[in-house]
Amino acid sequence: MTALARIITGWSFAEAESEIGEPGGFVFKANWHEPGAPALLGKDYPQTGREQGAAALADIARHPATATHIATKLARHFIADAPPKPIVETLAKTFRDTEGDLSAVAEALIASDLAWSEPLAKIRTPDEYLMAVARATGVLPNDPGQYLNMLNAMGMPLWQPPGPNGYPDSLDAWASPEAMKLRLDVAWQMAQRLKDIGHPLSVLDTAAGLAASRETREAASRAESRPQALAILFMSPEFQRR
Amino acid sequence: MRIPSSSTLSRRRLLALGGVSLALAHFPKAASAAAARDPRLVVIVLRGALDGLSAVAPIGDPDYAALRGSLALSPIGDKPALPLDGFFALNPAMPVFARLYKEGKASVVHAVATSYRERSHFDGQDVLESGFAGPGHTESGWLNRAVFALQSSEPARRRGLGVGAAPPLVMRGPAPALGWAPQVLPPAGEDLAQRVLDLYTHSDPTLAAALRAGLDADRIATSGGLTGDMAKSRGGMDQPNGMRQAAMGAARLLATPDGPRVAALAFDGWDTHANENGLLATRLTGLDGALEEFEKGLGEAWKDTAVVAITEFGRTARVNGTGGTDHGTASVAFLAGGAVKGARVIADWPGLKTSRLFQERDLAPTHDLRAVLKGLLTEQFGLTAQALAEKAFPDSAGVAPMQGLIAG
Repeated sequence: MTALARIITGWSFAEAESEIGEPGGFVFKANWHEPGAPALLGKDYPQTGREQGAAALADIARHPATATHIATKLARHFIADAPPKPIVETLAKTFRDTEGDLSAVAEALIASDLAWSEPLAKIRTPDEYLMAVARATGVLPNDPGQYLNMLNAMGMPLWQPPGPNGYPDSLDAWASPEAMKLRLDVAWQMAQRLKDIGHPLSVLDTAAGLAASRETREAASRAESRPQALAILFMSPEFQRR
Repeated sequence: MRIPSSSTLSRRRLLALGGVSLALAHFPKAASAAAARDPRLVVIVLRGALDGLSAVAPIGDPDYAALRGSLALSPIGDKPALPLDGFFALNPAMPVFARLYKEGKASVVHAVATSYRERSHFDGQDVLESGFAGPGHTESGWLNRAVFALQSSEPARRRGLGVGAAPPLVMRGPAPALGWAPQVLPPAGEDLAQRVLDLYTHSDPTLAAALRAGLDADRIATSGGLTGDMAKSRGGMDQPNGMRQAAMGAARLLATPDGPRVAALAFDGWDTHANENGLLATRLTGLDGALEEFEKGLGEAWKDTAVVAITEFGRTARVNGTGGTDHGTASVAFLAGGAVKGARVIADWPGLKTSRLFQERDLAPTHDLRAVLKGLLTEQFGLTAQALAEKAFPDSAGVAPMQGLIAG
């Protein structure tokens, strides 16, 4: 870790008023780079300057463990907390065979039957949930603050994950009792705000299409009000699960 | 299935809760628990670094008044400090703590610090909450691992509760913990909740169990409703109302016969770089109110309870140019509860002469906070020295548990 940190000293980004590059973009600051050729994972890096980091990262990308790591993370995110081994192996092999072509890995994921098996084992993260509501209803927030507050309430404050390893990516984390209760409150908040979006069941058709279950259709039909029907749709398994 | 409106929680219902997030599988019959002691531990993390010298002032130290200038507390004047033991006096914003102290149910550990000696809030809080000797560990907290160690050695009774939209790090980790947060959104109605539950019961048992458990926990925590000012203003975790609400809800859950026994809360806003007198009065009023809510809400269970309030580090001994103080080293830990052996300020007082200050600027640490926390875990739950030194506070075998913090 410290060897890699030394190797990529000088890698930075251009500040807002910067003249050395597009603001926010990558720049290499040569005078910030620590001289020397540290060894990383048993290999020396004699290159100097920016090339030293590029060489190290290229080797890390080719390391077999990296392929497995990326494959596991992708499969865990899209399929299940404990994804089937065969698909992880398929994705890792694609990663290695294509020298880390992520679009090829994504296509392999989509092409696999294992990625489409039911029942769906994941739940939308809070930000996916809010975006799904916006997409299903076609209504974008006038006030982003309301959405940010809801993200905070659901434990996913925008760009502020609890640790450097990011937000959780497991069903347990996002479908905890507290989280589900807050999701329900959020569903109710948003359902009350939406106006003029037609029949709630047409929202269900938009959002779930043929996947809409008879149970959800009935529960929404029997709701005591339009907002309540919408809130039920937002909380329905076909809307929450993925 | 109707949601019960009763504020009590049946054993069966809690078992349903346990299927999702509580490790409740094997607790003993409640009958035997009635006679035996049933200890609780509440950890309140004060984020931002509490100024120990203004919270519990060493007014008997000959260098105190001059060093602290405009921040110095005094036993006389219009806002006199509340006397504790003749040498130390309490910030006037904490009358409840002062009363508990007099009753022998509250104590203070002074000049105490974690093993962290830098001055970054983030790293300091990570050390405080993770229980590791240095920064860089954010996967799990010492309280959670202590609960986990207990669960592997006895029936799973010491369940954890993390208060907040995201539980504090100290309560995160391998042991499943209940979560609860004071309401930040207007709640959905019971009718809607029931309809969604019915839908889940037919189509998604996992989500059904989780939602049911979440609704139950919230119902217990907020049963009885909020009264007076608290109902009007919700307040964040840096405001007296918010702190009281969090404590009130946590107390209700902890008081439940089959509910959690260990809870973690985090109160914000202790980083008093400017206008410290005013800010600290607000925050300490909140902490004091939270202690009062625990005392009231825990009822019978209060006698077996210890609450400890801890912070990542202290503040500079001298006042800065904006009526505040900057990041320092040693601070105080507050202990309160019926189980606490109180009416004591535990301190190996280092003094306030410049030469006695840590790096000639901060109150010097003479007690290791881990010793205090280990003492509480041992005397409340019987956690072994090995579990404490290996699981809860890794690499801390050299830090002996402080003895006699708990009465009896």
